[in-house]
Amino acid sequence: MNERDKRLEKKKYEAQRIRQLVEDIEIKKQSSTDLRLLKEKYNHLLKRFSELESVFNFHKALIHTISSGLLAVDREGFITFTNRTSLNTLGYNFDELRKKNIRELFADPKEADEIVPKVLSEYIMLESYETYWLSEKGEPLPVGFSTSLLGDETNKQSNSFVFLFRNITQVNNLRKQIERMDRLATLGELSAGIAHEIRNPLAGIKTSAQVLEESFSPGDFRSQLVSRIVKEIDRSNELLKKFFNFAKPSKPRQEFHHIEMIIDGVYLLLAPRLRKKSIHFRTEFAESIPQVYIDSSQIEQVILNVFINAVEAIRSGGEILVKTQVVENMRLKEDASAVDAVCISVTDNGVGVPTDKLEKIFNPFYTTKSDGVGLGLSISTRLLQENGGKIELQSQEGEGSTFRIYLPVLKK
Amino acid sequence: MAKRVLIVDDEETLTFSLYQSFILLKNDYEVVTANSGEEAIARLDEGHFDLVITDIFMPGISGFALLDHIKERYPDTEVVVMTAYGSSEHKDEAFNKGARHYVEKPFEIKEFKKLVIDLLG
Repeated sequence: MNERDKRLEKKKYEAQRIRQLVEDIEIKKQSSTDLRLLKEKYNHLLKRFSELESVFNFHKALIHTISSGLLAVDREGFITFTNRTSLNTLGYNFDELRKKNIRELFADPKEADEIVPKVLSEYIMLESYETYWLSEKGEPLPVGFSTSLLGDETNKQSNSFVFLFRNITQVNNLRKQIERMDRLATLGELSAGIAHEIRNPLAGIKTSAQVLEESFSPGDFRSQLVSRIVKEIDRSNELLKKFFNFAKPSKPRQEFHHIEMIIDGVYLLLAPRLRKKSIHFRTEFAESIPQVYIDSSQIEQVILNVFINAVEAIRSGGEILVKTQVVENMRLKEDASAVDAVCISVTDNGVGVPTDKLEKIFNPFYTTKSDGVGLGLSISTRLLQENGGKIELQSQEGEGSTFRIYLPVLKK
Repeated sequence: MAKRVLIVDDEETLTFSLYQSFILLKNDYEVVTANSGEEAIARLDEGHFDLVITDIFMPGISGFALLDHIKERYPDTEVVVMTAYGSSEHKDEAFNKGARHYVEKPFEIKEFKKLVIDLLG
């Protein structure tokens, strides 16, 4: 090879090298663009993932913190998902509830057999259905639930159903209170009407009898007979006055009072009776209880009534304990906001009230006493309502009872 | 001169027995009875009464309406109101309308008569 050929070869080699270099640069440029693109895509994915995670966490928190219990069940009724509220309401943990079939929650198995297939097989969705479900402890809980299909409702192909439920104990209690007040109101109106109709002829009879009595000399047996007529009329009249008290308690004349003084006053009235039955009377008054804005004679009547109930529940010996305290955030009326209240509790260790009678005890004309009229506690309920308060009873048969009287605290 | 008393109540037994009880009184009372608000107004138009004792709740013209009528037309006539209802609202309304006394039925005849004697002398 001559010199020129060698130089040509060398140029050729250099050109090839340059071309290779350019190619390499081209490749590297491409890779780095690819890398940049990959990085961009990766960052984009990260961002999307983070957004999705945010949305997921938000929805998860929503589902677990809504105030209703949420259960998802499959076509066979097995629970596939539970939110935190459902666990809290029913008292189960996550693993326990997940193993169950929705049928097992129903307190009444017959009802379960009737209702569950309607939802899961016939796709009949329920709205605010009220029933009893069993808690983890096996206690029946009043619940209201609604059902829905997870997914597309129109094609009804879904394998997943949602049960949304709430514990309706409080709602039920309020309902019962309203029903009771309605009954009281109706009965009250009736009583007032009836009492008036009866008292009128009684007035005629009494006046006639007393005018007749005046025409006899005192020793005359006819005078004595007439006097008995008058006595019986007076007895009937006393009963009718009780009806009136129950039906239309007078408008309260309210002033600020120390409740302890009223309690002490009632104690003094009953002290002889307590001594006679050897009942020990004890008080635990909290310090600095605010004054209450009440009609003192009406509330005195309520406290007297409750004390009498306690005394009569104790056969002999035994104790009555009266406590006062301030309770915060009490809802004393169904449509009012929560207020602070003074609570007067009267506890006896007497015979107590059987559970099945507890509901009835505040009903008018309900009594377990042979000489009782059964209006005392219903009158007390009315009087307390008129003064913005309320009364509750807790009792254990054979152990005793506690009445709690609540009176609102008003700012002076 | 005899004091004139008008007793108004739709309960006939009561007006009859009250009439009889006033007859037994030694004092000089002329007692007239009416069994409705309308009848009472007719009696009032016929002559002056020193005292009217009236039931509140009667069919037709009520005792309160009668009380208003008397206070407007015969301001010198005293009025005592009686009722078989035991309500403090009625008591307040009666006094606000100018009644001198409020009596709950059934009442003691002795106390009733004492009330009348104290009012009329």
